[in-house]
Amino acid sequence: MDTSITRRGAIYHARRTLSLSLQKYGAVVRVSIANNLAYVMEVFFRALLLVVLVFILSQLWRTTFSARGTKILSGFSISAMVWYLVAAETIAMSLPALTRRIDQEVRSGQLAYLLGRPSSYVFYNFAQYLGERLVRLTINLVVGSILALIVVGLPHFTWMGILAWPLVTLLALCIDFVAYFGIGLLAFWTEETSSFALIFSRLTLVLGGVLAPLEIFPQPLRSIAQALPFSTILYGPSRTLVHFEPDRFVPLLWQQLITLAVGSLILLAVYRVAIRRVNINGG
Amino acid sequence: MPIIEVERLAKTFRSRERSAGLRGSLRSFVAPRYREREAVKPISFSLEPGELLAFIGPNGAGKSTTIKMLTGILYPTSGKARVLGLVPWQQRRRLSFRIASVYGQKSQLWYHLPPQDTFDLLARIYELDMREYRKRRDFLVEVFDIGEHMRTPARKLSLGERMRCELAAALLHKPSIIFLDEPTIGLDVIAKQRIRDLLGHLHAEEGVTVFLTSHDAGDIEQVCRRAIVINHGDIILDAPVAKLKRDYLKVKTVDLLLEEPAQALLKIDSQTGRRRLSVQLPTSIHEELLDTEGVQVLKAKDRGLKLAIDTSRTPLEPVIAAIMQHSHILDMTISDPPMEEIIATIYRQAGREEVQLEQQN
Repeated sequence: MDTSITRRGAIYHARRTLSLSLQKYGAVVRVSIANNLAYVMEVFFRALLLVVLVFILSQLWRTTFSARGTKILSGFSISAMVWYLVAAETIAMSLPALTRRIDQEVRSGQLAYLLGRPSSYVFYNFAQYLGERLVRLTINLVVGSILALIVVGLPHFTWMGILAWPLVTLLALCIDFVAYFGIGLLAFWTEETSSFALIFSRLTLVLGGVLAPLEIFPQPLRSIAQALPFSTILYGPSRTLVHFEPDRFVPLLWQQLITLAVGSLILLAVYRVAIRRVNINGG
Repeated sequence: MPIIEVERLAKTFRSRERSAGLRGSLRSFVAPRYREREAVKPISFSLEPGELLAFIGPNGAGKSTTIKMLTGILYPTSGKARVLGLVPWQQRRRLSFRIASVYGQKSQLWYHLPPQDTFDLLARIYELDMREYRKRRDFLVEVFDIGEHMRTPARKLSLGERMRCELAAALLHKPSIIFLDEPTIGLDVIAKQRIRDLLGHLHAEEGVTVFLTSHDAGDIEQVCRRAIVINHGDIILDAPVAKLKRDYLKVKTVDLLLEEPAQALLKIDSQTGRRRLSVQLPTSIHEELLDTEGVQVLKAKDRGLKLAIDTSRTPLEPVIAAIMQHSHILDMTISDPPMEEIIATIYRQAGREEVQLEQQN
């Protein structure tokens, strides 16, 4: 009797905590979206760069297809290739300056406000990042889709691909967060974190498959790139949308979850050490 | 029972030392050298509920470090502290529901959004009941007179308006203690006064305990009842503000812009050769008071006159009234002595007391 009451109490407490946390961080996402919509034109003009990039890459691929005299290259038609590029660039170009923000918060002491509140510094930042990234992602998607429709016409997506894409993209955004937030925390030790962020972002672009699907890569580079976490951020979600295959979807999901779990454990370990090193400026 | 108890709390920062020049940079890269700086030396004090404490000292004295340890943001190097019965750095989350902090040089308002949005977000962060929150928000909006700013993006608010919004935001969850780190820094005289009045009002209405750091003597005089002076990480004075005012804030600097040349009000003291203010005080029967008691001429150029007036010897009002009899005052600023001077006086006084004690022994 007592045990069941205690258990019910614990379940009620856990539910309440979860509900309050969802409300709390949900509110941060909403405010972050509103904050980013305040300068939506800047985000829109940034998205125009995507037009230039995708247009140039699509012309390069057109030339490659015609030089090879083929309509299919490693399983991709020119239409699928352009839609793949749009999907990959949509994610790649939606990355906000997360590392710089964390770095500045650490150095300027602004994190004093966030640390002094009844919320987790990591989750608060994740919610803020998510709001910022969702605004950029949506605008990129709209601009990129219009361009792809003009250049190659309607895509041949499957319903499964369209439904699976938001899930794998969300996981990709989470993996990106863990990486860039972790790099930002290095500000507690190093004097400059932007170089680490630059290395990670360039590796993601090259090995993550933003210029071309990894199928195009020669062996063994292809297998190495597929095994690395970078492929779970760009290649995995983009391929899921363009060429959905259940046999590839499930391993991708596992790869993303394992990458996220390992990354989160490393991040939390770094955070626990970092937070003891807080040396707020002006103090 | 004390609301804050601090016992030999200390914080030492370790920072990397860099030598100058290319060779020095390379050397510090290969064999880094570290320097330890005692930001706060072991300090002890306690605070009762409802007290208004000014924690004062010059830049780099250790004020902000102490606040950050008491709010749980910084881990101390040694010592103990309990705030509302909790160890701040171990129970930071629990403590954060019951305290608030406002940093004058930092903002918690979302830059592109109106304060209303930040307020709504804070209600969620502090897990407030939404009906209670709306009542509290409306109350604070009225008290702080920020109704017309609630829908203006924070970036478009003046510093004074923003600071009132920051204070209201910090009070939404009805904290028992409010830590204020330089809340009036950069504000003009009117905005400063408004913040001070609001803090006084808040204390009277809600009995909130105020822990205020500042190096503006006006904040201390007008808001607080007790002052702790800290310098180089050491507490050098813990006394009622009335005593601080009487002993260390008695000399006011008065900056005047007159209609007539300032020289007309001055005469040279034949004994000392120094310039003295030469006016007839309303209470005096003398035609002129050549050696005005407690009034020192710091500067007199053209129509500008700067005086240091020891208010324990000569009240301000009659001196100003006497000057007005001779010349119109076009502009006037009265300021307190800078914190560095107050600290020097405290040290001088402490030194004198030590010498007296030694002589008695």
